[in-house]
Amino acid sequence: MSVWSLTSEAGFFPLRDTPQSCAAPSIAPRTCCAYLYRPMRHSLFAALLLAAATAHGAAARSQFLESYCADCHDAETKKGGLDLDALAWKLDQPANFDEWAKVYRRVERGEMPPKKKTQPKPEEAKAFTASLGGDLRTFDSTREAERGRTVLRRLNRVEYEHTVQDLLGIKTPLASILPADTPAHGFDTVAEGLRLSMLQMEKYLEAADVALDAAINLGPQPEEKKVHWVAKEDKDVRKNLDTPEGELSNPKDPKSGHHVLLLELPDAVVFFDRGYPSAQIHGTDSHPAGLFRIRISAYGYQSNGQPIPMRVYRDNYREKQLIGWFDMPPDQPRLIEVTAQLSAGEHLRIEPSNTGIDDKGQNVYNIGPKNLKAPGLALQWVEMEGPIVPEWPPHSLHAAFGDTPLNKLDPQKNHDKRLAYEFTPDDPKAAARKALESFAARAFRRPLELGEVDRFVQLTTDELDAGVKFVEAMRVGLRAILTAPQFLLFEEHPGKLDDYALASRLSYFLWSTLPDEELLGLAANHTLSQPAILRAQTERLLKDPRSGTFVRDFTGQWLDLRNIDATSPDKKLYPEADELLINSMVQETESFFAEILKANLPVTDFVQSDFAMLNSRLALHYGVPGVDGETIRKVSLPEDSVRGGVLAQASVLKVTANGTTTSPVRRGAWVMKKLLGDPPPPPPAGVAAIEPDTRGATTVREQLAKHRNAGTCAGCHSHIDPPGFAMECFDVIGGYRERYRSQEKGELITLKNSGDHRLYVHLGLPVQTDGELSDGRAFAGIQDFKKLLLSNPDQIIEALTGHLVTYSTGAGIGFADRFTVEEIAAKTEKQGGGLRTLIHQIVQSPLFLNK
Amino acid sequence: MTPAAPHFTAGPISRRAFLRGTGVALALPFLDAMWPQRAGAAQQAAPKRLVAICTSLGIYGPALFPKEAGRDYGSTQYLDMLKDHRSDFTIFSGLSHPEQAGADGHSSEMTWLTAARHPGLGGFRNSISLDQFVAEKIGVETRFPSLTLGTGGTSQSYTRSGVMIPAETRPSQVFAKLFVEGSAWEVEQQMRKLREGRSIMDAVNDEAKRFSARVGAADRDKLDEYFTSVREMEQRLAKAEDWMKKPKPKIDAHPPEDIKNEADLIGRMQLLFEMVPLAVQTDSTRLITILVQGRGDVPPIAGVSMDHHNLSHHGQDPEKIRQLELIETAQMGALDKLFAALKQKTEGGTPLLDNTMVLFGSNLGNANSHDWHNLPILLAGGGFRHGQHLAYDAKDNTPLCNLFVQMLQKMNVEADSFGTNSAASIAGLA
Repeated sequence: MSVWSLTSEAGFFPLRDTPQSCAAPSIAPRTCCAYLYRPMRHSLFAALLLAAATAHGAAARSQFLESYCADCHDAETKKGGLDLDALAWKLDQPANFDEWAKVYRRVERGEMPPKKKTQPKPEEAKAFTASLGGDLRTFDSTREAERGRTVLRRLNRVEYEHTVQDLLGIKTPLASILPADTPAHGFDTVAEGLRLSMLQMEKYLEAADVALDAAINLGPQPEEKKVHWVAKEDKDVRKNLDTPEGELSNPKDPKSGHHVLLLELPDAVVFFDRGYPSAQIHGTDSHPAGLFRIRISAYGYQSNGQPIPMRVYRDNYREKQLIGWFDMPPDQPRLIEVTAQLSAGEHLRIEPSNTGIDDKGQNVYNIGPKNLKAPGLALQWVEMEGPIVPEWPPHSLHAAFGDTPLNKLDPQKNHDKRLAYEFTPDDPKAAARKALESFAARAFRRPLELGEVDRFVQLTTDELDAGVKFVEAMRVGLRAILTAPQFLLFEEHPGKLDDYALASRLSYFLWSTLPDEELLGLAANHTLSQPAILRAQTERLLKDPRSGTFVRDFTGQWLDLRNIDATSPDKKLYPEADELLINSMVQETESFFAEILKANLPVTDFVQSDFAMLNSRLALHYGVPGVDGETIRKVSLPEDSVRGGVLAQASVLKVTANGTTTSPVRRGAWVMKKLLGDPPPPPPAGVAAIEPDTRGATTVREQLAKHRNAGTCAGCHSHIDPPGFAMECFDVIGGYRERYRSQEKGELITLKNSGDHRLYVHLGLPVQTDGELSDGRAFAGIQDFKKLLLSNPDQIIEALTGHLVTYSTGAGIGFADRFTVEEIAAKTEKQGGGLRTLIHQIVQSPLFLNK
Repeated sequence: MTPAAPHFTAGPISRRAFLRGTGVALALPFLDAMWPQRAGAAQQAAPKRLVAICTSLGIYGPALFPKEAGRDYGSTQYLDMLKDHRSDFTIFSGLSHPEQAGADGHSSEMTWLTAARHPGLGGFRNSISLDQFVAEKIGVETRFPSLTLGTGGTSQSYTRSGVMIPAETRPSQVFAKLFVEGSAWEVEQQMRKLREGRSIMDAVNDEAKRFSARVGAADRDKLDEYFTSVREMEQRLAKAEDWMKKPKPKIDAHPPEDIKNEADLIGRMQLLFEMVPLAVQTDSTRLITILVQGRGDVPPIAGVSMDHHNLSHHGQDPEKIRQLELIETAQMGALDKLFAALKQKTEGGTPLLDNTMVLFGSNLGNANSHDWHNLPILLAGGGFRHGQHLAYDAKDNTPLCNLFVQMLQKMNVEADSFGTNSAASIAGLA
């Protein structure tokens, strides 16, 4: 006879008799850590009742297994590797728990027994799953209550960077110094993936050094310089314009004749070529790192009424990074202004797009700039001001050294021109203690214990005793604090989180950085966890621009946007794929998420929305008229549009394909994992991958036909393939297609979906987008398919809830958690199903409030 | 830069003594008899080394694998590039790691040297790589326990906790690390940093004890990783301090100039290969891994106009295969040069290659279909009896780790298991 309680405070295990013999050890399956199941359609209370009613559940369950499962899953047959005879009841072994959870899932979803075998009566199956589910859930909840869901976790690289930047008041990039984090359950915030090794320690010491170098700047205030570059006056530009055409640069080489490549206008110089000699803005490179204001005046020339996109980079000769791009209007100068963070020595570089080729395919090398009737960028001038320094001495000195007196050096007496300030504490040891105490309290995100900072102070005082200067001695203490466990690790005790731990969890969730003074103040008052206050703080954090990191880091991982550059689109098949498109598509999806969050739009909008976030480049790509300019804005979509929702967004379509071909299996698995919270198991070991044949003879749909027909394959592929088939109407860069592009065969057409009208491709076989779901419901294409997805909105909300909970708490969704996730989703739906509502519900739920 | 005269504090023949004898300072070739003494070695056999090179976009099978097995195999297009070394290497077919289906078609790049299953899938945790496994045992004997190189920033080396060690991509930095002494001030600064690092590790170790008392039991287990990391870092810093006091070996070679063009896969690969004999002959390290990272851009090779990744997914297009072969032939050319260099340099009368195992291959058996079975694997040197094609069952592959274990034992590491091995050696290799 067994007694158990489903309250999470209970600290005892349910006692029961094991239904099977435990002679043989249980089979250890490959661990499948995704516990996101399709929802069990009954409430917590009902589960309690059902479970209580099956007090003799163990015996009844083994009866069920004997009747309906043992034929295939016994010691001899062992279908799928499952031997129920040998499967013991040892839930404390994770592999055993997983195996039972799998059994539960398969029966609950009606996948097992397979349709061709004897089916249990509905109430038998229900009783079985209720009993098994109840026991699994009890075990899991109890375990969670004791240990917490989240094991000890450390800051990941992004969090480390933001935290140190905020602690020290610097903007230096630090994340790339640290080794890459391993995502677990899809996110790099999850404890399981965040390991620690000697390599990490080495890099933390290095990163702390780099950060302190940037923070401890005792030099004179960097001069704010203004560079004004005029195209007509640049020496390289003039050299190109003024050197006679054909003049040999090397008298011995007849091929070294000079080409004039630029065109001089009264007020500008026109750049035709996309590459050389693109404007490298001389004079913009000699500066320290900092914030700069950049202004550029230019316009499109000979561009047939179209704007010319102008790309602006920061460049250190090794690599260039796009600062932004701008649509420069035809014939009318536009002044653009942008502020950007530049590293020391980076210069500005400007490159136009869609220029340089005329209708006959000739370029500026063929017929010279004067005769060329091709679009160009008329560049007038560029101005760069900076570094913009809000205060001097920099705030970072106060951040690191607290109130230690800082004095300006007398320029007459000081011989080292690199120094302009120095710290002059009367009592260096006392000053060190004070400064390190205040720094540690902020770094540890809670009040210090008595004597907690002593060890760090000792490091500094030891250095002072050895004759080391004050600043150098302080560095050792500061560096140690930035490597200490209290800084690197989240301190969370099992059960309800204390207010400081809650403040950290909330602030890292929405800002990826340490809690600010307001949050810490509420923690100090022990009021943060009060629902109304917690809600108000969540709102505050969401409204703050710092929540942009949440949008970027969450969507980057939930929707795999971080993989946007994993492959390059084939230049022959997708010539319209340019940097502007790739850059814009990521912005589109991030803005889409941000818009749904800001306006509290329903979560189902991720599946289908009546709007899209577009700029001119995306609008051209999608065939949506009337969108001008590079700024992303909300655009209403017509009712019959294929666009709307993430499945129709170029970024998602790109990260689920490679540079040449799409894969319905890949896309289908993505939809199951990301939108439905139901990741498919990996392929069985013996299956060979398909050999893609892009010579145009066979479509990938034809090649995958085997999945629809073979029995064992169909089990999983009847779920996986359909979304992928519906999405076949989108190519590897998210363009809409009714025929596949081909290398050589097929009809030649000119592309009209980009600013470059000279691009062409071959079109080959037609695309098939029809299919049917595993339950038999059919769809003709992507629009139908999205409607079918929306017929089960609960699943969509629960999936996203699971992802958000995983991301914000650093732990995956366990068996017991699943029920809480359903509750959160149900509450959210009652209040309109909005994303912002969902986030509030998550923050207020036990999953977030407890370890 | 004029090569500096090699200088040894002690050794079979001191070069200084030699030069004093002739009265002239000449830039003489590095003489066989002057190989430097190793820690604790007086008159011992040359140390064993392991070099593992992975080219991540596979190698086109029909141009690599001979049709026949055994010693009399008919050479192939790619093996022709190594014809000078036929008796110095073994080509394998039918090897793979089990259960490598992962998050995507290229995830097995993470597990070529670790054999962990299902790379990148839910709950995946990588394990220690072959080189790091050996480094744990012999790393202390050399200035650098191992050298992790790559043409991109990713590498083949993974720590015991499954964290990837970032690759050094710049040969200039490798050269400087191995051979260039800092100025007296620089050395002093570095010593100070090392001492400071040790003090910090000491302090945070104490803090971790305090932290441990505050957290629950489950967390204390995880905190163990922190303790281990701190302790290992402390030991590493102490070792580094010791090595700091010893002069670096002098080498008769010019410091290389890094190749800026990231797309120049062959150029970068070649330059990194050139570091291998230098590192090995000076016993700076005995473990090197190199990841030749497949890229999505066009390498500057005559006749190649499409990007490498695209070509690896040739889809049976003959033009793509032709271009792919151009790239891979160039890779084999770089390997040929490496073998030649390791044979040309000798230690105690034997070529370096005899005591240096070079494993070359890929984590993809068929890049076109992302198939991880039937991997291209080539092993050279190490003192094995080479010169044959060892062909295992293509439908029922032999675990690659069986070869790894045999290699471990060749390095005098006492191990009869690693990764997913099913035996302690591979049939046919002696």
